[in-house]
Amino acid sequence: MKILLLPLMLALTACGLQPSVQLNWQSDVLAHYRASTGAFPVDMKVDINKLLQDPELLDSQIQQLRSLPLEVGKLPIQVQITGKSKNDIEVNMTLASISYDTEPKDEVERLHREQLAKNVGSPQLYTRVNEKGQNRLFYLKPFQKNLVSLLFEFPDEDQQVGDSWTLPVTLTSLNTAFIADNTERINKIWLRSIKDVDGEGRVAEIVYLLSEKVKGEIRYKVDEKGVERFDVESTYFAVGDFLLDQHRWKRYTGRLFSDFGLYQSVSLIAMHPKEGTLK
Amino acid sequence: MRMLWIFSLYFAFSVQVVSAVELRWNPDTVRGIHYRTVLELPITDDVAVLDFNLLTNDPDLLAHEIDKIREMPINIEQLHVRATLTPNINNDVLRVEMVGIPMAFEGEPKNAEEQEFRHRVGAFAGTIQMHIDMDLSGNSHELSFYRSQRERNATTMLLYLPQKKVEVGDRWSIPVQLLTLGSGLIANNASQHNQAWLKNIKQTQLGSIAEVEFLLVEHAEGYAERISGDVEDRLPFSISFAYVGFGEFNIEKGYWQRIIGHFSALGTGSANIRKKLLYALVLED
Repeated sequence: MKILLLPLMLALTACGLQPSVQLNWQSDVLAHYRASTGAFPVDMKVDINKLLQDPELLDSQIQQLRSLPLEVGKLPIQVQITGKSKNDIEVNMTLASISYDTEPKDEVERLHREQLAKNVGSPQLYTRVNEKGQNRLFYLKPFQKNLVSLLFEFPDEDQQVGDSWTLPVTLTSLNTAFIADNTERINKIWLRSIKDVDGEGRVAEIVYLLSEKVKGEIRYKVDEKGVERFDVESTYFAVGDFLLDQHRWKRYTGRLFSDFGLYQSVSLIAMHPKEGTLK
Repeated sequence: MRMLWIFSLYFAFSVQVVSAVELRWNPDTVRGIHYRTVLELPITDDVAVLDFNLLTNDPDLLAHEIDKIREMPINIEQLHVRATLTPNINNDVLRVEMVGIPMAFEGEPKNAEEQEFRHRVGAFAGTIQMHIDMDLSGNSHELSFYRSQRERNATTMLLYLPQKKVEVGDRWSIPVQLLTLGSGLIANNASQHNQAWLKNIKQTQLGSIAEVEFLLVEHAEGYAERISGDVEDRLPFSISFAYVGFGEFNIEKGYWQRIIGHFSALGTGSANIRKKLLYALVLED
């Protein structure tokens, strides 16, 4: 009996060495961030399959994401997070005012700046989340729900370093004419490390690896001849540092890439604290 | 005493086994059957008479609405889309394909709306209206993750089944979202009611038929935020969507005999909308 108990105790001790942590927002949180949710030239080539297989490549691409030359004051969206009560945290994103150091390069940029200036303060996303960051307003549009999940949502269960979970996010939205014959999907969010940082407490590094590939043919009629093939791919790669003791992001940077064959788009999904709002 | 216990346990167990039923698509029996169907076919009933709030709180009103839908004559020849369900080689995935079929209309169209409808139906003949893969519980969220929300909603409303065994009176929800608001619309008040329930199991010549009823109501009211942020500039809105319907599922055969549902939309202010749409899936053979 003693012999049987020994390995069990050893196993429990080993488990105890790596404690589980709660990833949650707190109801008394008040935070101001600047964010980006739109087009931005993030010049990287990301293959989620390779990142999952090659730790060195993953390391180097995480570093690349972390060192993107982002000026927080120039991120176009202002985010205010206000805890209302337990399980009721308000997220309000509005278009921010941006000041520029240089003159616009061309007419297109000038018009773009003018358009942004006219819309300062306009609502971009308003929702309420629970302490796990799960969306509570049922009527949001799919891309808004994606954003809320990617930027705020954590799993219900406590997590240890190395644990992974999935998010209810879909990057692809095709209509009927796109008849798929091959689909692949990766949806892995991963607690990669926890470090103690002076003055900040425990910081959890969370990595987001999502990929969707859909191939098939574009067919409108059942008896259509000479149909076109299509091959679309979307990837999302992000890294966030979550302050476990302050219940908020220290910073979060992600790259959303969509390839529709003739057309590609790259977006920056980022949330960085506004200067002076996070100690 | 022990005999009594054994008997009670046996009785409880047998009651459970007899009354709980599994509603599941059967890949062997759906092979070769066809449905006539329509998704979002405009109908002319007045939406304004429906009190969306009362529907969720007044069982008699709801029963009356469902009875009206049940009694509404549906001519299968007027359902202008044919649906077929094809199992994969492992019999664990069903491919649902809906294709428009040519229709013959009698007489001249009564009004411009009907003319437009006839034109649309004519243009739809031979076109693929839906192409989606689902599991045997009618869930397409994983297998067709890449489909737009609108398309997944439409098929889920007709094809989805409860994930667990159910008894008469049991309720479950349908994973659909009827209402979406753009970022400029701020809701002060919003509610969602989403339920399907097993009303009854009846024995018929076709076999045991599970009678299922549906009520989905989504409502939001608030204002359209202006860029100026000026409170007086805000335009109020109110929008309600309701889906009321019934279905008859053949338990032994493992397929719907029919489902008929009415989708109503009523919006005021900056979300002005007033329409009623028919959803129907009726076994053809």
